[in-house]
Parts: sequence; structure tokens; C-alpha cells
Amino acid sequence: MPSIQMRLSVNGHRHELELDIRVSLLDCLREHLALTGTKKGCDQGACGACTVLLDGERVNSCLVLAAQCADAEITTIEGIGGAMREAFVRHDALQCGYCTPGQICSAVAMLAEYEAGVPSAVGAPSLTDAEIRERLAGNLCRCGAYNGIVAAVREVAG
Amino acid sequence: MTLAARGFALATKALTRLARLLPDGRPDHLAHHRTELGRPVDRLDGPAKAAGAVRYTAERHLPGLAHAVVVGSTISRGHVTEIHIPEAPGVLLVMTHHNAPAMKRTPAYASIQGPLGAAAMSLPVLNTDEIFWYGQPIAVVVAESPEQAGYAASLIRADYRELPAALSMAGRKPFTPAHAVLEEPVVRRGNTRTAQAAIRVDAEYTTPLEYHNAMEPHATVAHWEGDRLTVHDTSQYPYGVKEMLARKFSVPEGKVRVLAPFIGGGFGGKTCAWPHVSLAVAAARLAGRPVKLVLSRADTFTMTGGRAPTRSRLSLGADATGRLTALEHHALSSCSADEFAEAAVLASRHLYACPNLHSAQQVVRLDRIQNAFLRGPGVAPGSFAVESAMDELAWRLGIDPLELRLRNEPERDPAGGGRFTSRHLREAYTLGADAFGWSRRPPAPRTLREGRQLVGYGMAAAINPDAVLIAGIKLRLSADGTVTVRSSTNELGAGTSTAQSQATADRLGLPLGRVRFEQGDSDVARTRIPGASAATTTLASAIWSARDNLVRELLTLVRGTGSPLAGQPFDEVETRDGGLHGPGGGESYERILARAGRESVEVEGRSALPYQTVKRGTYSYGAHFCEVRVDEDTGEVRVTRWVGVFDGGRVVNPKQAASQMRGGIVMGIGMALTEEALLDERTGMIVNRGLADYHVPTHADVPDIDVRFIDRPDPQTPLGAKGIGELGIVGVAAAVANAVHHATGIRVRSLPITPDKLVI
Repeated sequence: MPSIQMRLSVNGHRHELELDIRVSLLDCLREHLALTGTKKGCDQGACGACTVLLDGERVNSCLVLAAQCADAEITTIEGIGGAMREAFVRHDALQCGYCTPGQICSAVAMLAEYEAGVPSAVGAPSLTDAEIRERLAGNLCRCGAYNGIVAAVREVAG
Repeated sequence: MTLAARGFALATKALTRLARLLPDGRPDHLAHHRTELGRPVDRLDGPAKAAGAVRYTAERHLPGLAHAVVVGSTISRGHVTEIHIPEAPGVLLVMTHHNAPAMKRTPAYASIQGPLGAAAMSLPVLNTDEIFWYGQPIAVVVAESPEQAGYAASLIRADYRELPAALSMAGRKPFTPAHAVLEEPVVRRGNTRTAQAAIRVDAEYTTPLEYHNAMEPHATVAHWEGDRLTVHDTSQYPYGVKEMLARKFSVPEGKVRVLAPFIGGGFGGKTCAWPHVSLAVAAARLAGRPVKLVLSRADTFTMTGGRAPTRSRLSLGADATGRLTALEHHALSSCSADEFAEAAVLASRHLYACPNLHSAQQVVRLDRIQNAFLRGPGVAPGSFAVESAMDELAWRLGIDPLELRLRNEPERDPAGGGRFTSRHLREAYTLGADAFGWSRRPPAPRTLREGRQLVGYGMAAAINPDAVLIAGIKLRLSADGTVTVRSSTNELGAGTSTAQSQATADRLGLPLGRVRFEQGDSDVARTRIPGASAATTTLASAIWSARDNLVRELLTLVRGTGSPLAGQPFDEVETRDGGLHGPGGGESYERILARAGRESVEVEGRSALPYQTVKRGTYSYGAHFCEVRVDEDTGEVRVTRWVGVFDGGRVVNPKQAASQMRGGIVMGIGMALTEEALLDERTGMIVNRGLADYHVPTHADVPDIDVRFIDRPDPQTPLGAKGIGELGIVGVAAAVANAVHHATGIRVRSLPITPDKLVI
């Protein structure tokens, strides 16, 4: 299988890579850049554990090829700071911790989407709990920490 | 009943008779006097987890690491006659039954041949051409990269000589197993046939094959250095996996080390070692390189087991006042060639006072992968049956379902006749009913509505056996007065490391900040806590014993010195305020070590034998109350309100404990409404092998869940605590089904409650 020489910018750091063109962004982060904070739960876009920000928008990194990201800026959990992480810990919004980085990346991007007026199926006039739940529904948590996650996101949203 | 089963049953009966001679549990003063215990401490590994800094199994990178992908069979029973392996780039080797190293057969877990074994199945895999289930590994591709391994695996085809497979529970001959995981398979008291009953309920309830679907898929990284083997594994039972691998590969146990500090959720699915664990080890030996094998999400449905489907025939008889006169529960589940029976009969045996009881667990053998423990094994599906039947009985009697339960609350264990160590279910019912507003519920079904939404209230009881298992720990006190506890257990999200740090702090009289808890190394001590909600009390017991050993060791150190502790008797010395204190004065830990010129003191601790759980009924309890809304047009059920009140003894960490209970309830909502692995009984294939098709609850499916605890100590358990990890899910599906009946008038006796069952 052909490989590709490419540059990838992750959390503000530029990396020179030679990659098999089949490598997903997720596997590139985990296997080639040792950024294991991004998790693989299903590898088919169904669980959200691999959520990262691609030019500021949340994507399932298992559904993106690394080769598609040459000119993009990637932000992973390792590049996302304080407030949301701290709120997750305070509200016990995690148990096993495996979905947590994806939940946090998703929540950060979701708040930005909401601010930008991106609509949702709920369509509430303010960021209600129902809005948060709907907008984060793509991030599964099998430990069932959903109540804590909503509380953490609500707190950060202010 | 087989001869082995008969022998086991006789031994159990003899043990039960002798049980009353056993001593009671040792009262633990930490059940009452606590500083760190009982505090809602933020989980100590939370910041690292939230930062993505915790390393899970598949994130172990070793020099020269090769990547493995497993190919599964596409038939359920028969023989592989030929395997076609086309050339593919990057492939180091393809391991099949032709070239796989010999792996000795080891007994399957929870079987009487190897009750404490870690192997999921005793069947040979890749050491034979024989196929026992659909998806059984027939080849392992090892390649330089995961992409190359995956591509090469996709090219492999096999020819088979197919044999007829047993895939449906219907029409198979059931048999009585030797035991039903800690329960006798058959219990009879009184005579259910001659019992008088004014009102009867007699119905069948079924639950489907379900899967754990922990967010982290199973993974193994195996590394041989000569005959030394190091394995990183997603295991809930590292010590058991170490034993198993030593036997399978004929190496001394001392040469095998299994590491599993953090697991991305287990729920019982990582309790035992599924065949891929040994295959990763075998592939690493064959490749002469470290090998990483990660199951795909689809693989986890065919290469690991799920919760056995169950069928329960429940017959209840009651007098006109609602007192139970007869209770029969005949439960059936499935297993593989290895015997494995969960006790779906557990809840109906221990929840309600009833003079005439007949309860029997049976199983059928199928050509499937073995079933696994799944949160509340047996008791969660079985409680759906008995708690639905109690609701049906309440309707027939015209008695409120809560009142019916209060009228049948037992003073002694209905099945064994023994006393309970503690039981505060009555308080849980009352507190839950108040918090929920149960008294506002109109008795008749289909009376509450909001627009096109039918509204219903339901409730159910929860029960789970409290087990104290086997653990050893090592405790090191350092010269700076800090303490490190090491254990062979792991952190799978339950909060064990935080809870045990709190327990250690109070046991030694130290602030939490001076305690470290490390876990997940098989080599620390023999530890058998593969599940059973037993980590909290078992480890607390081991730490308690280590504390006693530490005190003895420190008193030896001060002997003959000027320390005020010198010569003070062990029994009168307390561990508090950062040191040892007796009637003749005390000293800090730092001072004792400094005088002795010691950098550290290390002691071991072992959990005590849990006589109290044999002698008496030791259970944790709960009461669920919920509100559902059912769309009249589509039959879609939404859970909109939940109150759960639990008796788990003293609560070690209310924040973590509440999360545990919520997690169980969330999983129970999935069990009630959406979760079902669809097995094609013609081929043995599971059709919905993925999270897009097997639906677990999402954010949008879960309301605010109000969790409360009775928080009264059990007088006989370490810390006064009782296991709660599995309690939350028990009774949830019945509470939902009962609420759906209240909303719609439709009784659904077959899980999950999908819209098609409600649209007429």
C-alpha cells in the first residue's frame, strides 16, 4: 500500500510523518504520535470516544484519514486545558475514564457550536439540560456517568 | 443431576448445617469512627483520566511491537478442512491450528473443576481443527502494522466440514447444574403444590442475550524474554490470568507477570480470559517479538461472551391480604460445553417471606461461546421476572405494589432460614416512596397522560449478595510518614483506588494526602476478586490485617528504646493522629522509623475468611421508583424520572457510590428498553455486532437520577460496608416494565420493551 509524506499539526506542534495512506487520524495519534489520550472504542463512528477537534470542529477521528488532515489544525485532549477537565472531576463525570477525553473534547466543541447558533433537535431557547443531552448524544459512556457530565458542562457553560 | 452435581449439592448442604458453628464477622470500629471514610472525595485518578494521561492496555508500546488481528470462524460447529492464506505485505506470520504452540487445557471459570480459574472456556482453540462456536478464532495474523494485519486478515478464507449445531434454547434438554454461582440449584421449603392461595399469578418472563460493551475493547500485549512472560491485559483478574498462562504455556508461575492497572470498564466481561489472551501470548512466542492484539468492537460480540438469555416461569400465590403463600421460580439459561449457570432464581429466594418455596435453576448446552458474568449475573434478569410478577400480583389483589412488598418483608432469609447480617430494605422503600411522591400515583393503569404521552409510575426492589473474597496486599510505611499500598486488583472505574486510600488513611490515622494506592500487578499477592462487587470489603479486610502486622512490627522496632511505646501491649495500641498511641503515650510514624534508622517498613495483609457471609444472609438492597412516558402513536418509551434508595451498609465514598448506582440504573434502562444481541439461530451469527446496532443508553436517554443511601453499618463486615457495584442494575428493568404497564395497561414480559410490543 502506498505511503504518504505529510505534515500534521497537533496541539500547535508540527509533525513530519510518513504514513500508510490507510492510517486513520485516530491511529495516527495513538500509534504514531503517542498521543494516547484519544481513545478507540468502536472504530466505526458509533461511540465518540475518539472525538478530537479538526480546525475547531468535533469529529470522530476514527472516520477521518490522517492523509486528509495535512492542512488542518488538530486539537486533542492533550491540548485542551483546565476548566472542563476540572469540572468533570468535581462532578464525578467519569468512572473508568475511557470515554472521558472524547466527552470533554465533544463538550468543548459543543459549547462553541451552541454559541455560534448551530441548531439541534431540541431547539430550546437556552442551553437546558435537554439541549446538552441532545448535543452530546454521540458520546457514549457505558459506566453511565451522564448525570455528572451534564452537570459539569452546565457549570462550565455558566 | 450428574454425580459431580450431586456431590457438590451434598457438600453444600453439609456446609450449611455446619455454618451456625462459624464465628461472626469481626466488628470494625471504622464503621462508626471515620474521618476520610464517608467523605465525598473526588476520585484520586480523576485528573489523570480527564487529561487522557492514564494508559490503558492497548496503549503500551514496546520496542519491536507487532500487531495481531484475529480471524473468526463463519460456522458454529464442525471442522476446518482448509485455510486459504493469500500473500499480503507486512505479514510476519499467520498462526493457525497447524502451527500454533501447544496450549494446555485449563478448567473454565465458575465450573466445579476450576471455580477460581480465569479461563473463559476449557475448549481448545487453535490447537484443533474443531469449531465449537461462530466466531471462534481460526487464525491470527501478525504483521508490522495494524493496517497490514487487518488487510491480510480480510483475505483469509476457510473451508469447513459443517456439523449440526445446537443454537436455540427451545427444544434442548435442560439439566440441573452442580451449582448456580454461589447458590444451590434447587431449593424447596414447605410444599408449593398444596399451598392455599386466593390469588395466583403464573407467567413466563424472558430476557435476551446482552453484551457488556465496556468502552474499552479487550486487548492483550504479550512479551516474552526467554521464558519470562509479561502480559498487559484488560483483565479484572490479573492474578488468575497469571496462573492460567503459566499452566497453558508450561512455565513456572514466578515467570509470568500480568499487568492491568487501569481498565476501560469491565462489568464482568473482563472477569475471565477469553481465548484471544492466550492467542496473543502464543503469537508473541511464535513471532519472537512482542505482540499487541486488540479485539474490534465486532469481535467482542463473538470472541467474548455476553449475559446468558434467561427464561423464568414464575408462579405466585397469595391470600386475600396479600401475604405470599407459595412461590415457584423455574429458571432456564444457557451455557456451552463447560457448565456455567447464573442464579436467575436469586432475587425470588431472598426477597420475600413465603412459607412454601420451590426454586430451581436449569441450563441447556448450546454451541456458542461461553456466557459471561454481567453486572448482577443471574439476579438482574431474574429480578425482572419476580419483580414483574409481584407487580402483577398487586394488580390482581388490588393492593399497592409498594404495600404488597412491605407486607412480605421477611425477618429471616426465606430460602435458608438464617438471620441477615443487616437488612434495611423497609427503610429504603419508605424513603424512596417519599422522595418520588409515590402516594400521588393513581392505582388504575392508563389514567395519567400529557397530550399524546401516556405517563406511568413503577417500582421494584433490588438485592445483591455481598461477597468478601480473597486478597493480599503489601503496605509500605516510609520514613516521611507516607504509606503506599500495593495490590493485585485493578481500577475499572468503580473507584477502588480512591475508596481504599480512604480506608487506609482511617485505618492508620493518616490524612488522605499521605496515602498512595497502586494496583494492577499480579505479582503483589494472591488476589481473587474477579468481580462480585467484592473489592471494597475484601481489600479493606486485607488492609486491616496489614495494619495489625504493621503495629506488631513497629512495636518490635521500639522494644528496648526510650520510646513511650516500648513495652506497651499490641491490643492497647491505636493507630491514630499519624502514629501509634497507647495508654502509656504515643509517637508519630516518622519518629518511630527515624529512631530505628529505617527508610521504610513493609508488611503484608490478607483478607479474613468471610464466615459471616456463610453463616448468615449478607445482601445489599435497594428500592427503585421511576416515571416513564410512552408515546401513544409510536410506542416509544422514555424514562423521565428516577429515585433509587440503597442499603449498602456504610458508604465509603458517597460521591463515587452514587455514581456507581447511577451507572447500574443507566445500564438497567438499556436492558429494559433497547439492549438485545440478535442471534441468528440458523447460523449462530450475531447480527448486530456493533454500537450502531446494539443500542446502549446515550446522554439523551437518561434523566436526572436521584440516588440516596440508608448508610447504616453492617455489624459484621469490614468498614460496615456491603458491596454495591452490581446492586444498581437489579430491579431496574422490572421497575420500567411496571411503569410501562401503569402507563399503558400493557404487560410486557419479554425484554427489551421495544415499541413493537406496545403498538397494537
